Parts: sequence; structure tokens; C-alpha cells
Amino acid sequence: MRKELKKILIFLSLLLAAVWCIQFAIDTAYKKRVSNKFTKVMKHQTDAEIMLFGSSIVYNHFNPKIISSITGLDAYNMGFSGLFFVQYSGLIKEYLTYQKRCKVMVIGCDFDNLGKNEFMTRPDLFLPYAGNSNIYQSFYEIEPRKAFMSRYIPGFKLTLLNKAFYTRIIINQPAADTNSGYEALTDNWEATKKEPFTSRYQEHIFELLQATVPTITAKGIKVVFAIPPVYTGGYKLILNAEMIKNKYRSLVGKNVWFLDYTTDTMCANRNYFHNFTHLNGQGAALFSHTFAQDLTKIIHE
Amino acid sequence: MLFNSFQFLLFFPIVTILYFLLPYKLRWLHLLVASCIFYMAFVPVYILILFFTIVIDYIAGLKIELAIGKKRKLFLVVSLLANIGVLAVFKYYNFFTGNINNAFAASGSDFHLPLLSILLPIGLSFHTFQAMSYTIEVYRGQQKAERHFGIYALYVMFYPQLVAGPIERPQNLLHQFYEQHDFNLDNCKEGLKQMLWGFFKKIVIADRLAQVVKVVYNHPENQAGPALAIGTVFFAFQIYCDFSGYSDIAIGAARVMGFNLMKNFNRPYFARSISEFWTRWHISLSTWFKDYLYIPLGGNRVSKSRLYLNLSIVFVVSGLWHGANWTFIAWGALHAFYLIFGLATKPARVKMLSAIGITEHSRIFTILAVLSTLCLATFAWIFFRAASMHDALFISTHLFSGWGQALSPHGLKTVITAVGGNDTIIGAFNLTLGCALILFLELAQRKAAHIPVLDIFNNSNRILRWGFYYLLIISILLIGVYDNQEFIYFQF
Repeated sequence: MRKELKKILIFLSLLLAAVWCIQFAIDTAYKKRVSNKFTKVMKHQTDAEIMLFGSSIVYNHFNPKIISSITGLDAYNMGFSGLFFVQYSGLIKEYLTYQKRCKVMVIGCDFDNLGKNEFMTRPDLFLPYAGNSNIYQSFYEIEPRKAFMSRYIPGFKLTLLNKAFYTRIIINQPAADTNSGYEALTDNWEATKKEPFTSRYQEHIFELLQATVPTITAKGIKVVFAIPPVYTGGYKLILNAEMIKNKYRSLVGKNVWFLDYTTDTMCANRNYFHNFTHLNGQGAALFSHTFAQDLTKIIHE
Repeated sequence: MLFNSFQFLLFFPIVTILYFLLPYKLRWLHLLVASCIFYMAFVPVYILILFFTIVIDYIAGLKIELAIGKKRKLFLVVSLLANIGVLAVFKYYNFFTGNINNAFAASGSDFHLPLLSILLPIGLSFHTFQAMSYTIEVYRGQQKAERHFGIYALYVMFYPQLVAGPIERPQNLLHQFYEQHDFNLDNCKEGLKQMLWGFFKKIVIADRLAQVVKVVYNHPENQAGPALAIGTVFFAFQIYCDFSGYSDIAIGAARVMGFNLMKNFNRPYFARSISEFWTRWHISLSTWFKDYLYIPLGGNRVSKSRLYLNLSIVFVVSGLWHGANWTFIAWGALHAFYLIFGLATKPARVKMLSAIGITEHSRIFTILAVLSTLCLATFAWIFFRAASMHDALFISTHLFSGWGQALSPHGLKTVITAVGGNDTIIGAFNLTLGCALILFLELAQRKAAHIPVLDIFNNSNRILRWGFYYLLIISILLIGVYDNQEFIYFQF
């Protein structure tokens, strides 16, 4: 019996070792091939005087080159499509652990920013870093069971490999990061929602944001919440828009600003938009210009 | 609870360890509670249906044994009616009512019977058939009526085989609940190995092939012949790996605790005829139909025409057992046709083959027979998998069209993209992996003709043996599909 037990132990130990090696190899390969922007923060390589965080309304709206040319400070766009605050808060926390140059942190606020998806968006970005406590916390907020098992059960992450992982590991090379993280949308108009709707909002995520703000300002960084322009036809469909804006307004205080562009004149001009909530390249350039001017005032305050 | 779920990963070791730790007298209760938990993980309230049939059959068993003369038959009929009644209400009511309503609508009548909006209880046909086999065996005097209500309930509800078989006979299972099973390392190892092979077949092969099958069969009208053929061949192996995988996990899980469940599959795609196929596929169901329907109808000791009628009845009923849909009836009828045609043409075929010098024992005959049986069985699966008769007829009539175009590089890419759901990378990945897995399955099963697949390296050194286990486990982790796909046979 003792001999058999010994055999079982050896079998399981070797299995664990093999699984660990495969997991390590995949994570390593993945970290090298995944989005430059994400990896650079995780490797503590990205640092700028103006850092912009948020979803696609940051990624596709805030042009760092225009913002830099007007403010005189270098800027970097850390926006990712489909990511809301609960998910990128881990990235902000990670950035704060090493940053040295940041003067202003802009948090782009779309109307779903204080809600969350049922599943993690872009798990391929976050899963290889499940061992990082900041990333783990934001993962855990969205999918607690999956996050826990990814971190603590050897081999579990392997069961989450999907198309995104396979194609990135095998085929894709990370795209060149030539625009400081920014990418413009096309001029084609693609309206989607037509019925009025209530944007996702969860009080505890607002409380999470509320708790995060002092950790940023404590490092001497100014925080600017900004809602970019929303096409008038789409804005009136958002039933809880005012309530959400008031939530952001309530955060304004020392070193914290709130800029609302939903009443800007460009909101009425469909030529600036790709869809109801996203500006096209032309609109993004115009907006970045306006925003940079407002930001300059804040910087000099 | 699904075998391929995280819950089962916790449930199985806890139940098994507790089983061996508990005193012998309490083990039946432990297994019964565990089985209730297992079943209630699906739709809890449906346990009442199970309880209803258990009570009826338990009482019927006792009454049959005590009664004499016609009363015995009466109690048997009551039991069968109760079981078939449950099936009729939950599984077949909407099917028959829908067809009646359609017939009235076609004749211009406004008459309309109401439909029920109920979910089919998981594994209803399996435990109903298992319960029926108990009362029939008691009636035949082959099995003593079970006095212990808890043990009888456990016979129907024993969790490894509760929702998808094997459909056990009381003679094989009931007495095992009275036996004292001490922990046995060999049983444990063999059981775990069988479970591992079952998980591999389900999670790695069946669910991977399902990725292609789903795309093809969800919108067959969008697919050309080659894609339809690939989808159909993949489904033949998907359903085999799905169902035999479940059986392996069930048999293995029971084996770890010391129980022996009957073999349910014996390499069916190596069968040399459709009649042999049915001695290798879902053995517990085909023997159930043989013992309780085919032989009572007269079996093969009747005239030719009556034999053909008996076969037709058995296979149409078997089709209906699988699902309340014309597609399942057509699948059963097609198999009946294969068998009848095979029997009717056998003398002529033997004559023809011997004329060209091929005997039934030659290698070439075996290869041709295995391939033709596989083709026939695969063709019949079209009716089993298609969502409607319209789809099934479309697929079977378009299976051979568009092959010329598919042979060009552009045509090949179109087929790959189509089976990948308009994604060439996914299509190529799933096709390559699917073909490799089918090849692996067939080679492994060919090597393991008379032994479990996981024992094929038993006589080799430890590196090879363990390497094979590691390969399977790591494949399950790395290329398994994890979207909690249910086992196909759960719906029956």
C-alpha cells in the first residue's frame, strides 16, 4: 500500500510539474504577443505626464498627439474597447505602483463605465496576469470563481484558452504602437440602438471609483473625469444619463475635475460621429483639440 | 449535475470518500442522498416525478410477487402504464398533440388541442426503462421483489447511471447494494482510468467535433455538399464519444466504489454489419428492447414477413424512445430498413462475393464490411441530428453536390471558412484537430480490441504508460472545450 501511495504521489507531482510548465510557457508566449499597451504597463514601461484611461470612448476619442501639442505635456492613451472601470481599475492601480511622471490622469466616462459585464471583456489581456494582485482584484470583481481558480488551481487557466489565445499565440504579432495608444474610427455611420435604454450602473462600482480617486490624488496627480460628446439622437435614448453625470459631479473636489461634452455643439452634427456614442476620426480630432484647451486650464490651475 | 462540470469534480471525491468512511449500514442512505443531490442539480422539482414512479414500481413489485393468476398481470400493467404515462405526458404529449393539431389545421378545422409548456425531465427515458425492467423481471419470476424501499429507490436513482444509463437490470445491480465494498486500489485505479478515457472522449473529442457540427447543422441550407458531409461524419464520432464517454465516466465512477455496471459500447464503428452494430452500440438499450419487446413479439422464430414487422416495430419504437420528433422515427425506420434489406439480400450477397473470390473471413471483406456499415450508420445519423425532417432531407439530398468546386484551392478555403462559421482560422483549427482526434480514437480503439483503451500500454514501461495518461490529461486541459456542454443523451 505504501509503495502504491508513493507511486500515486510521484504521478501527481510530475503531472503538476508538467501542467505548471505548460502554463508558464503559454503565459510567457502570450505576454510577448499580446497588446503592447497592456504589456508595457504590466512591465512598468509606460509613463507619461498625461495618462488617459477608459473604454473605447478613450481609445478612439483622445488623440495624444493633439493633446500633447496643445498642453505641452506628453500624453498616452490607455483606452481599451469594452473595458469599464471595474476592469481597468486594476491597470490604474498597477500603473500607480511605479509611475514617476504622471501629472494628470484622465478617466473617460461612458455611460456604462459604472456598470459591469457578466463576463470579463478581453480575458486574453488579463488572464496571463491573474497572478498579479491588482489585475486579480479587478478580475475577481467580475468573475470571482474563474478568477480564484485561475490564480490558485494549476492548469485551470489552460481550460480558458479560446480563439483569442490560440490566434495570438500562433499567428498574431502585436500591432505597432505608433499613435501613443490612440486609434481613430472610420467615417462610416453605424447607428445601433434605437429604443430608449437604461445604462448599466452599480452603486458598489461607483464606491470603488470613489475609493480609487484619493489613491491617485495622494500621489500628487490631478484627476479629470471626462464624458466625450454623444450624438444628440443617441443621448436622448439614455434614460439615466443625468443620474450618472451627477454621480461623477459628486466626486469633484480638490484636484478632481469633471468635464462634460455631451452639450457641446458638435453633438448635433452627425458628420463627426461613427455611431451614437463614438466620434469618427474627424470628430475625435476636433474633440481632442477642445479637450486639450480645457485641460491646459486645469493643468495651470 | 454534469459530469463535465466543476461541481462534479468536487462531488465525486467527496461522495466516494464518505462512502468508504461511513459504516456499511449507512452507505445506501449516503448514496441515495448523493443521487438526489446529483439529480436535483438540474430541475429540483422533477425529483417528485422520479419519486412517483419509484413508489408505484416498488409497490407493484411487492404486489406482483404476492399475487397469483391474472392479478399479477394487472399489477404489472398498472406499473407499466404509470411509467409509460409519465413518458407520454412529459415527452410525447406535445409531439402527438402538435401532429393532431396540424392534421386538423390541414383539413381546415379550427380544432386545437392545448400544448403543455413543460421542460422534459433529464434522463426520463433512462430511469423509466430501468424501473420498467424491474417490474417485468419480478413478473417473470427472474427477480425477487425488493423489500427495502431505500435500496429500491437507489436502484432507480444510483447517480452514476441515473440520467444517461447504462440501463441496468435488477439482477445485475440490486444485489450489489447489499454487498460490502471495501476500498480496493485496483478497482479505484481501473475506475479512474475509465473515467479519464470518458472525459477525454467527451471534453476533447465530442465537444470539439460539436463546434463544426453545430455550424453545419444549425443552417444546413447555407452549406455545400462537402461541409454537410464533414458535419455528418463529425457528428457520427461526436455522438459516439459523447455517449460512450458518459457511459465510461458512469461505469468508472461506480467501479471506484466497487460497483460493476454493464458495458454499454463495444467499438461500434468496427461492426461489420448493422445487426452487429446494434450488439455494440448502446448495448443496455438494445438488449432492453430485445428482451422486453422483440422477443415477446416473437423474435426471429416467426415467418419472414412477421420478422420484418417485428424489426420495424422495435426500431421505430427505439427511434421514438430517443425523442418525440419525426426525425428520430425516421432514424429508427432507416435502421429497420437496413436490417430488413440486409437479411433479404444476404444469400445473394454471399453468392456474389464468393463468385469473385471474397469469403466472409477474408481481410478485404472485413474492411469493406466495416466501411459500408460505418457509412450506413453515419448516413442515418443525419436524421438523428437534423432539427427537422426538412433539414434532414435537404442534407441527405445535397450531401454529394458541390464536390467539384471544393477540390480547387479557393473552394477548399470556402469549405473551411463555412465549417468555421465564417472564420477560416477557426474552421482550419477545428477541422485539423477534429480529423486528428478521430484518427487517434480509431487507432487507439483498434489497438485495444479486447481491453480498455487505457490499458494498451500496460505491458510497456512506466514512461510510456504514464506518458499516455499525461497526454490525455493535458489534452483535456489544453484542447478540451469548456462551455458546459450537456451530454446529447441527457435530452432522452
